[in-house]
Amino acid sequence: MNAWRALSLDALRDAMRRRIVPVLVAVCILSLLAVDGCTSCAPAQIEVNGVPQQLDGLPGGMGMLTLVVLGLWVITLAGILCADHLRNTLEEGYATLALSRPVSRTSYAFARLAGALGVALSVGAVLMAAASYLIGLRTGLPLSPVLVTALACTLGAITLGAFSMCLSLHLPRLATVLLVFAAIGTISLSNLLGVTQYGSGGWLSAIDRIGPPLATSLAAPLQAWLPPEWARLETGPLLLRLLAWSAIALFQLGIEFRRMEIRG
Amino acid sequence: MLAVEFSGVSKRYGLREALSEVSLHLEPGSALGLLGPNGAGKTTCLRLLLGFARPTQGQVRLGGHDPRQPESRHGLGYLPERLSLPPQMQVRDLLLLHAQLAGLQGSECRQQVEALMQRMGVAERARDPLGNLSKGLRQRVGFAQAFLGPPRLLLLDEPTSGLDPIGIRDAREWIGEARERGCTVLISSHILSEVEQTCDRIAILHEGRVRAEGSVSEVVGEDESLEDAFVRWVRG
Repeated sequence: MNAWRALSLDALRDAMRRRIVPVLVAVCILSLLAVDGCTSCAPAQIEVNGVPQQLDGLPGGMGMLTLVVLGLWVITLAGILCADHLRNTLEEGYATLALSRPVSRTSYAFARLAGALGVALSVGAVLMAAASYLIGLRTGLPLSPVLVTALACTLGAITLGAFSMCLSLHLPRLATVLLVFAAIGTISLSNLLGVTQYGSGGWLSAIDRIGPPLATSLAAPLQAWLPPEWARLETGPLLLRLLAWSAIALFQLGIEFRRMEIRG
Repeated sequence: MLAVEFSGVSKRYGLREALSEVSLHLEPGSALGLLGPNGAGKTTCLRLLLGFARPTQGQVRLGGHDPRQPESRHGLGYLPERLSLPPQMQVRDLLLLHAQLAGLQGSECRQQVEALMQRMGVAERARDPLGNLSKGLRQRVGFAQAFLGPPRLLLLDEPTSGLDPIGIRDAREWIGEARERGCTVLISSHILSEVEQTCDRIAILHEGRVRAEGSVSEVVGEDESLEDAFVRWVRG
């Protein structure tokens, strides 16, 4: 445990020293400006064919959309950071010294994963806390569902991060990053089609039903902010499925890294 | 129990056979020099010992354990041929990290790091990023991390690479001190004099096969230098 903690802290420091971090800070600031705009919606009244209609769900819907987009951004960030956080130490040769110690390959890989996730989830915590604060302040919506969304975001980041790290052992960094974007895009689209019930059958529908529910698990807890008739997702089963995918991703990473030969 | 044991070990990388039927062993406290020209299979032997690769055939044992098991690497110090250190990390931080990985804790960890930095002549550069050090100083840091523990088994791959003559002499002293403590040493090198002065046994590897093994007097013929013997065994 002592060794794992030392390796994780080293991996976290290593992740924070990376050149991508100033870019992340800049994107964070831009995201906060966008969050400011997205959380200023108030209940609106519109007229449809001359009949006035009250849009009570608008603030909650915008709040949900904001947090789901932020959550997906954090999960994508985890995937990008993990795309070379382990691979880089193998290529540069730093890993060989650590692995010549009584450290298991699994511990080493998980420590690197924890380091990259530490940066991604810290960014996520800042963004989600700021967004939640503004939503609570401006709309008075209850903030407890955000904690469940944050849990879903953590599980999603672990899932995509571990799969990304696993792929990076076999693929060049660019290919891994492109696959991360493709996975996020495809899963989010399948989740969206599933919720709106446009997708009936086909492989996108299969991904929505059995794949990691990255977007829906973020949105499900926030349905408390919507009018009850709009709620379609069940939080518990979605979180359980995402937890299962996280376990699969971690298991796969452990297996792949133990199996591979390391150049010393 | 043997410190290191290779039993009929072969290793293939695709079609290329890096090692072929290698059998070697090291008694605890002994020192073996693994000699051979470039590409002879010396580094592959070390990779197998560290569990970085699996033998295609045969068995490798480290203190009686499978080297792929982390516990087999307790008390192991390793200095790779191409020492790669994170450039932004400070000397002391690297050594503290490796002391923790070697199982040291608390004040013992810090004391050993400070003592080794003094012994290896890098104490004045303790706060310098590793990327700012010369090749020789980096090699000294590499020695310091290998000697943390302290180790019961030292695996040194071309250990004097990058060191100046004073550094080479220092390295010889450090290895000698480790041997006096009962440490087993395996040195892979193509610098014959280095091996001759630090090891009591040598093995000559060529094209993945052990061409000769024994004490220096057994491998080297009468009126022959180690260099002559090396050329004779390698060229056949």
